[in-house]
Parts: sequence; C-alpha cells; structure tokens
Amino acid sequence: MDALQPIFDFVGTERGFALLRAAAFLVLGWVLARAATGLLTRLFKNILDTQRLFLVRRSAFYAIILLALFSALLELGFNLGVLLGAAGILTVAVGFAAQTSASNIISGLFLIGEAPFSIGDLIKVGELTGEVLSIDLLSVKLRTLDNLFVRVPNESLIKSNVTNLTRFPIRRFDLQLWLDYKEDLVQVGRILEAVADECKFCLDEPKPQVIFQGFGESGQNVQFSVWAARANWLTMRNALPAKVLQALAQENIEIGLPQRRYSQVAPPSEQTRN
Amino acid sequence: MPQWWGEFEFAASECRAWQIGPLRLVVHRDGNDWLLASNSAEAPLATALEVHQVCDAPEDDDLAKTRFAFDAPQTRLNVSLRLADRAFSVRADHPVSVPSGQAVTFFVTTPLWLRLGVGSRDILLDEIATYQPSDTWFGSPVSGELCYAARTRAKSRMGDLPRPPHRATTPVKVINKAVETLRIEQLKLPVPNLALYCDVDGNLLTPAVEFTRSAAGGAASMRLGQAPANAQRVSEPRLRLRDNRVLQVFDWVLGGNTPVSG
Repeated sequence: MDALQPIFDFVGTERGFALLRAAAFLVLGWVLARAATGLLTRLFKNILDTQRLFLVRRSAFYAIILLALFSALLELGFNLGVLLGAAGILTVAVGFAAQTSASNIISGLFLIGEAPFSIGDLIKVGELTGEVLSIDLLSVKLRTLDNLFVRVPNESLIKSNVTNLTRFPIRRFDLQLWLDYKEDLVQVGRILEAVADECKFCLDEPKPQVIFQGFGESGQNVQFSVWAARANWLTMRNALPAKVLQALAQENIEIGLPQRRYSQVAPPSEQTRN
Repeated sequence: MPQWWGEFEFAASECRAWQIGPLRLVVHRDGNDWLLASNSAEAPLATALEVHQVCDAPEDDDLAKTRFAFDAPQTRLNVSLRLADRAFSVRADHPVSVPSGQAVTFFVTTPLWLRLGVGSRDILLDEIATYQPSDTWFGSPVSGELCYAARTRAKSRMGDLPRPPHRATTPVKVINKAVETLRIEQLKLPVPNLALYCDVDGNLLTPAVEFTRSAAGGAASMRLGQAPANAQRVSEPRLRLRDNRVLQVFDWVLGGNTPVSG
C-alpha cells in the first residue's frame, strides 16, 4: 500500500487530477466513437453501400477521437492555437512531400462518394478491363479477365473515362456487317430479324434493330443491334455471328469484300502523237 | 389422359420416359444414382402427352444429362408442377383495343416447369421448363425487369384456346374505366405470384389477373382474382403478395407505350 502512496499523492495534486481527466476524456472518446460507429452501421446498412458506409463510419470515428484528443490536451494545459498552427505548417510540409498520395486520397474520397462502380463490377479504364476487388483510399484493385492483379491509383481513375460494363441489367451487342452491293437490304433485314427471333438469349424487347450505316469500299454497311441480359451477353455475342453467317449463306446473301477496279487505258495512236 | 405428374416408384434399375408437349424427359434410377436427361423442342404448342414405363437408359446425345449421387437408395420420384420463375411479357399478335367502360376477359397460356424431387423428403433434383421461352425486357433499359416473352391471340373464349397439357391458362381481365379507348399491345403477367390449380378435366389453370385502368386514365392497377371454382390447388405461388393485391401504377404495365428504345 505504501508503494502506491506516491501515485495517490500525484493524483491529489492539480496536475495529477488534470492528467486523470485527460485520460478519462480519451477513454470516453474512444467508447463514444465505437458506439457511434456501431449505431451508424445499424442506421445506414440498408441505405448505403459498403464503401460509403465505411467512409461514414471512419469519418465519425476519427472526428470523435479528434475531439476527445483536443479536450484531453486542453485539460493538460496545452495551447491549442499554437498546436493547430504547428499542425497546419506540418500539414503543408507533408502535403508538398506527399502530393501524389494526398491527391490519391482525395480522389479516393470522391470515388467513394460518387460511387461510379462498386465491388464486383466489371469496369474498363483505358485499355484495362477487370473486376473490382476493392476500393481503397489510395487505389482501386482490379482482377483482369486474364487473372492479373492490377492496382489503379485513384487519381488516374478520377482523370480518365471509366466504363462500368455491369451497371445496367441489359446490354446491346452491335454486329457490323458488310454486304455486297447487289444484295437487297430489305431481304437482309428480314433474315436478321428471323435470326434474332430464333435466338433464346436475344431479348424480344428492346427490339433488335438493323441500321443502315453507309456505303463503303467493301459494300453496304449495316449494323445489327441485339439486346441480351447481362448474364447472357457474352454467350449471345459468341453465338450470334455464326447464326447470322449461316442464315445469310442459306439465302445466298454475299458478304462484301474489298474491291478495286482497274481500267486499262489504250496507248495513244500514231496519228494522235503526230 | 395418362397420369404424368405426381409420385412414381422406381425399381433399383429402372428407366421411364415422358413426352410432355415439346419436352422429352428420361429419368433413370441406377441404385443410389439418378440420371435426368431432357430436351425441349421448338414447338411451344405441341400437344403430345406420353408416359413410357419402360425405356432404355438415355444414350441420345441430343439430351442434356445430369447425374445425381446419393449415399442411400431413394425409390420415389416426385414430379410436381410449377409456374414459371419469372413474369411473362405477353404481346398480342394484333393489338387489342378496349373501348371506354368495357370489361373484357382474355385467356393466355404459359408453359409449366417440372420440379423433380426424390425420396420422402422430396430432395430437389432439378426444375425443368417444359418449353424454354425466350427472354425479354419489360420497362426501361436502366431499371426494368427481365421477363419471359409470350405471344397470344388474346382469345376471349376459353373453348377457342389451344390448351396443350404443358401449359397453364390464366384469365386476364381488363377493365377500362377511362374515357379514352385502351390499346393493349403487351402486358406483364405476374406468373410467379400465381398459384396453380387443376380442374376436374385435368386442365391446369391459375386465378385471374385483373388490370384496371382508372377513370382518370394514366395509371393502371393490378389485382389477383380468387381461386378457380371446382379446381384443386397443385402448387403454391413462388412469390407471395402481402394482400393478394399489387398496385403497379405505371403506364406501361398495361398498354403499348413501353419506354424502351433501341
């Protein structure tokens, strides 16, 4: 008991009591932060997606911890104005030193807030196509279709065009066809509609469309646009061209090939030369 | 009409075959194993109905085969009937117009699914469509619903309707309380919300689905009718509604103005 006497004496002093109150603020802050994140999770789990919920929870947690820390420092007699000034200078110094990281973090916050994609989505960034594995503060991790792990910095995602291939439940496939100039486009349209009608994966609605695109050096260019449910899109994309070729061949419709016409000009006669 | 659904006892090595409309189904029990083989032809209104109690083990390459292995022998096959697992987007061969103040009933048929289970606990082997309808989309490309596509001649007398054994008949009642004539090109039939019944003649049918266009026009409401008279309940709805009533207040639930575009 005598060994603890110096501690009791210290706590009895004004400085010791202030230290005790500062510790109490920190503990209370931590407990409050934990309780607040639990409450927020329960409140928003059905409203927000995983990434946004994570952001809300972390923001609330660190805000409460920061408040508790400031209160504890005040209890200990620190001048917060000086501390905040020093922190500001430090932030500027760190900001200059770690510009890229700071930019990635801010981009990450925007990405989480904007939510152009979520975990599990298939996205295309530039030449890269992959499934989103995680969305972190600094980067987004992707698994490409050939099973490579790619880390994409958030800053480059914010700056570039991102295509989400799995956002909407249905997707269109456009098949470009070049047909010989002698072919009747009305007949081709009927054949293509019949192909779409027989295809199980092709949606009846929105209706398949045959769109004339123009005359080219290889023939008449038409676009055959067919819709499929996202899950069946790849199957349909692989099956449809073969069915189209088969149907066109059955009706003796020829695919247009690049053509060049050469004309031989007769050499000038002797009379013309004189 | 042969008994084609219900319970079937299988010996240790026995094979049976069904031809139900376009569906050819072969079930082979080999000790503890069960083999299912099936194939559906492109004939949505085929009327064949045959049950062969003796057949050879399926060797035909046209049949899609799946083998199920159990640790103990299961002797009983339970063939039960279900309605489709998605709603149908039904399109009339020719658009039908319902003038103001009229209440008309059309009959629409949709293909059934076979639920194949074994043993006293009815362990699910598979669910097979008697005819696999093509997919279609109902609603906007951003937030619609994947449905099966069906075409109908919208017959208003049940007697005029071809009723193959593998299809269930649903009466669709359309009430137009609006001042304008209602032109129907397609409608969404909520098949997963319907129970299936069998009448005394062995015909399969569902409760009616009632669409009402309100006097103000625009919105359409939908309501499920009562169980058909003198019919026995064969299967429960896949999806239950809270109060047997759905208010789908969208213009495009009923009518031809679906907001889909190419």
